[in-house]
Amino acid sequence: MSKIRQRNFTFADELPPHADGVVRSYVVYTARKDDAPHRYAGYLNAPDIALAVSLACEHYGQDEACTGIWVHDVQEITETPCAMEKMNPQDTSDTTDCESDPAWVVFGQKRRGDIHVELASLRAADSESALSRAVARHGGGMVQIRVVPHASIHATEPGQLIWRTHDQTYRMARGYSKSVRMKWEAVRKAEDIDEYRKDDIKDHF
Amino acid sequence: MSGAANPVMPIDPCQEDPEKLAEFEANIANGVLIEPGDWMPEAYRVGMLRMSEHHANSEIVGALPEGEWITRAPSLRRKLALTAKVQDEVGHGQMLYRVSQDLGKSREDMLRDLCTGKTKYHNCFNYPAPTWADIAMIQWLIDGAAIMNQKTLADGAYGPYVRTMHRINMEEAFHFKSGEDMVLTLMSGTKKQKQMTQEAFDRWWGPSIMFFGPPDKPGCEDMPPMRWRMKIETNDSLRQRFVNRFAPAARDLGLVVHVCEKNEEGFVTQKQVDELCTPDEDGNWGFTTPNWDEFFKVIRGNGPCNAHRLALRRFSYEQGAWVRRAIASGDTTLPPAA
Ligand SMILES: [Fe+2]
Ligand SMILES: [Fe+2]
Repeated sequence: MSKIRQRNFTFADELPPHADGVVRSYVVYTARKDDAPHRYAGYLNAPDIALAVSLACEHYGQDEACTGIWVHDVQEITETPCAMEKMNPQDTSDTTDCESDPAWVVFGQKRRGDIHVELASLRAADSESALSRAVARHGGGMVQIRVVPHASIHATEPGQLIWRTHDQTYRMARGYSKSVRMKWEAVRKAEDIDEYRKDDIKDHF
Repeated sequence: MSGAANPVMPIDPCQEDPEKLAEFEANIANGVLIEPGDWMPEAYRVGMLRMSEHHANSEIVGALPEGEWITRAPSLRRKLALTAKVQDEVGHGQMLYRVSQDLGKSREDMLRDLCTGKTKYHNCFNYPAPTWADIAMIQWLIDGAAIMNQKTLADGAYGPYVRTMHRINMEEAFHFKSGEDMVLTLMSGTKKQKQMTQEAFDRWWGPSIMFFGPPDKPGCEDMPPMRWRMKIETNDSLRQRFVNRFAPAARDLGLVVHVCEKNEEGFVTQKQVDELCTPDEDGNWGFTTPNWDEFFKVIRGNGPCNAHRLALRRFSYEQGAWVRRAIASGDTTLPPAA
């Protein structure tokens, strides 16, 4: 252990004042393979979008196979209130998109507690009409619809290496499952191992 | 980023609008998840904030004793795995601070309250980890206990916390599996390795039993934390399931459960075999009731490593100040040499 870490620090005074500067909140989505929809991964705080993207690659891009990341400022979200029941939009008097309008990406949440998943994109003049159009077209079966201006979403380059391709099994449960099972079998009965494993996490990276 | 108030004492749910409260409680009873835009009782918001802030604190403090061992891992694979684990834990902290922020407290305030001892982190991180076998034991017993607890929390009622729990648990599965692998490897090793593992087991069994918190108060199922599904299973029930799972596994591995006396530094001074640690006719394993005085002493800040952990956390907070300043405002003046 380094000397500096072993030292017991004494702090006579209060902590120095906060670091100044504005740290913004960003929402991160990841795609597990090319052309797969982007799925909500989590939030992070960063001073600007460029740093948010690189932090997102390090944090959310390394724990599972990942070919693409989207990041946007949380302020860019326009969404419906999260409904108690799945939406069943009746209004089908939908207009066609005007090519000169800005593009919006539509995300949907299927059930309360679920993550938001990319559904489609559309064009609309403003956030209000983008949201109502998104609800009319994609709201069925969802509890919440969210639209984000396409221009405010920062994406990693297609083909950019996010998920490192060398052997990463050391950082995943499946990198150990087989050897652990074999080692248990040397000392325990199979039914005891099965009983013990009931409390394992079934769904893992 | 300052200004957000510290959580105040939760207000009595009786002061809430009775109609809204009734609707909120009915939703929870029907298994409806609460999302941030929904109305919620103030006591619920404050309770969830405290819970996820405490959880976030635990993640980043727990990474400290483990981080100390990265440079001394016994093989390259173990070193990579431990580095990844520590990175995961800090990532869990960032996600949970994010959930807490949305409940009304700024991240700055949370980090500072942790450093000044105003808020707590999990008790189990106030015990020493003097050998590599302790690192193995932490990943097997403590991450194992954390998974059992967090699996129940993933069935909770607060959407953002539930989503975070799912993602965290997927990583915890790796921590636990690699911990098992380390313990199994050590216990199939030399006599010296087995002895080292037994000693680490003696140090960590007690804190693992206490991991789930003190015995439940009667009627806790009807109190807000459980009625509002902030907490899903009682401490005692989780503890019993943990013992039922780990006591026979430890025995089959050749480890012996001891009742231990420890000194101020958290090292075992005296031990005897825990005679209660056998299964009853229902298959429930017994255990000697932990010393709850010790538990409360550690909570009050007087455990073996409280001062050291907090000092290290504060050290890393202060040493990191220039990084935060640099990214937030472009000011890259370095701190004075430590
Ligand atoms: Fe964790
Ligand atoms: Fe963990």
